[in-house]
Amino acid sequence: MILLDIIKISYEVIALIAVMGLCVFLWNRRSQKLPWLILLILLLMIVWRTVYGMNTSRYSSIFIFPAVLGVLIFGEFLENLFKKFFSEKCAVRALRICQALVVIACLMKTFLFDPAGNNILKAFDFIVEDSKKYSTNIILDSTLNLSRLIFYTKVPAVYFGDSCGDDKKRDVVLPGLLYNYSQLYENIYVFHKEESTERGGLKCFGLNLLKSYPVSRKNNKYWTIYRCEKIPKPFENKTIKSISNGDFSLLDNKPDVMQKDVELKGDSFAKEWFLNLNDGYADKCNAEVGIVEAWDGNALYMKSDSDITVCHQKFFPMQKNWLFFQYKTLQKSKFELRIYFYDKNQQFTGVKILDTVFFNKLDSLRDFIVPITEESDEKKSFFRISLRLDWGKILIDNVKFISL
Amino acid sequence: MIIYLKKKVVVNRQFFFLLGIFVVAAALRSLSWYCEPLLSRDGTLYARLASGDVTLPMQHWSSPLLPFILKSCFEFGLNVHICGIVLNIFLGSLMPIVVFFISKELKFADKWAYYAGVLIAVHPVLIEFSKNILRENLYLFFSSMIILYLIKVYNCKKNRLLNTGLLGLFTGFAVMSRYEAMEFAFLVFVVLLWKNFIEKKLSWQVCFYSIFVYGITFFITTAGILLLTVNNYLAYFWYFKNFYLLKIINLL
Repeated sequence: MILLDIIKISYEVIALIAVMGLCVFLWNRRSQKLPWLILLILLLMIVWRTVYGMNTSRYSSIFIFPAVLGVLIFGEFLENLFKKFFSEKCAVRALRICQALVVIACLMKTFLFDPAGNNILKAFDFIVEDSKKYSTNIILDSTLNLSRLIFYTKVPAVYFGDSCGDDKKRDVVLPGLLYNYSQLYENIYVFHKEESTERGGLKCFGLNLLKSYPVSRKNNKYWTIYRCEKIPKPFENKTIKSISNGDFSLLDNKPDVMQKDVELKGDSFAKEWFLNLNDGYADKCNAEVGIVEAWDGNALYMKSDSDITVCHQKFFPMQKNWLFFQYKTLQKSKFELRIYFYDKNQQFTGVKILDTVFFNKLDSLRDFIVPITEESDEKKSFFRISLRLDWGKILIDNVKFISL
Repeated sequence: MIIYLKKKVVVNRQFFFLLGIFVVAAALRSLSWYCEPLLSRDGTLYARLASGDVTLPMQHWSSPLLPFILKSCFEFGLNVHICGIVLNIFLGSLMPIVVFFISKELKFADKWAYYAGVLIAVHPVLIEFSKNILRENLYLFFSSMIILYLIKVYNCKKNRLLNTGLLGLFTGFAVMSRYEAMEFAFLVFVVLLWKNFIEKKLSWQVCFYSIFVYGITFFITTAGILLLTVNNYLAYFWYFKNFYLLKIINLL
């Protein structure tokens, strides 16, 4: 695998010649010590990357230099070979043709690009122009282009692709998301990548197809931009399981901010809710967490300059559910809802981000609903709820599971 | 007199070739950027980091040099996007020159050293890196400087401490660009010990001094950059504990 990455990053033509160059070098100087030093160095570099693990082929980009030097060695070998069989003049010409061919191959690889690759920029430009008509906008992205969207459009964006791996999941997730965000933002875009045969497939969710651009010159896939036109009706729900102490208003605790700043050291507060130290937070996060008087008795209060996490202690079996809570933002905030997975022995096995939300400063009380999908994986038998505030100030109450 | 003139002509030819290859490399990279201006996902993240649009917890500040440079540009009121591209195109265009000198150090004939420069100038992956805001170009530029000085140290009959000092400096910069560059720290030891043990070209005393000078310059460079960028005195120890010590312990 790592060798394939090295070949890819060095560019196949150069890598092939370099391997031949390395073989020539080792054969010609087999009696010397230097080739073995070079082999040792290359081996150490490959071992280093194998141990570290490589996420992308970019991690092996350093091998471009040995590959180019390998080309030179093979070039010298070829020069001597040509001189043996041809006249001096012919040998030089033949060599120059070979050199030029490699350079042309490199240039062709660089400049024979697909002009449709820039279509995504046109899509971003369209969003920039269109979003000027509205005071608050958000983009729901399913294409893993979240950072690009935010950078080019300057509109907050949320990735929802993880929670809708297939169409069935998407059918459940997308209406819930649209409902939530329609309460927060005046205008919602959905940025999606679709097959040409399925173009406009999200119209059934009350979305209006605004624009679509081909992803490549083959025209088989399209970047599509939708706008949420019909705001989904609020869900009629009934509580199926209350989370113990999820209703903070029922707590006996006296209203108070219970931990502050560096004194946030992981003790349980509000009974089953506790600050999670494993997720970490900066010492200078300037955080405040506790129970304060709110709209309906007491509510969970979270304020921080950088991320802090509050978890519920109880393990819940992994079943199809909707997690519901009410919130009120006191200032512009970024919030993340996560679940921690546990196996049958209640050993920690992983984390999943259910939703990431940018809250504008809104004073009115809001409902938030997010789906929890069923998992067949044994490593995900149980889960725990985790409320993570990246920054800002919010109040949360009535955390519970509901059915729709 | 004739030898002097010949030498001057060679030097002039070399200078004009290097200047030309720099211009060609910069032109190819700029043209490629003009044709395909879309930034990579990581590139947009670095640009947003520099402009304060996103903040990362400390564990993600594994390679602070590029975000720090971009952030400095932003604080000067410059456009982060353009600055990132210009920096990468500039460093990418310098790389053929460094590789030319590497080839010369490796005793390749002049025409092959020139060809190495040309190959680096037209290499599609290096052009791709240069037209984006990525850490790769910083890392590759400093890595090429490390390779150059590593070969100088290997070739030099009397080891010059200046070379090992510069080696430490460039290793520090490379590590702060991409943490994979830490491998060069091991490779420098391998080369020095090889020269001492296997080839017997280096005395123990000089080997020890070289390693000492290398270590000191490396420490000062990395500590300086971390203190400047992460602005946390514990960051240095935290950084090496998490990225290297634990990895080495796991490996053993």
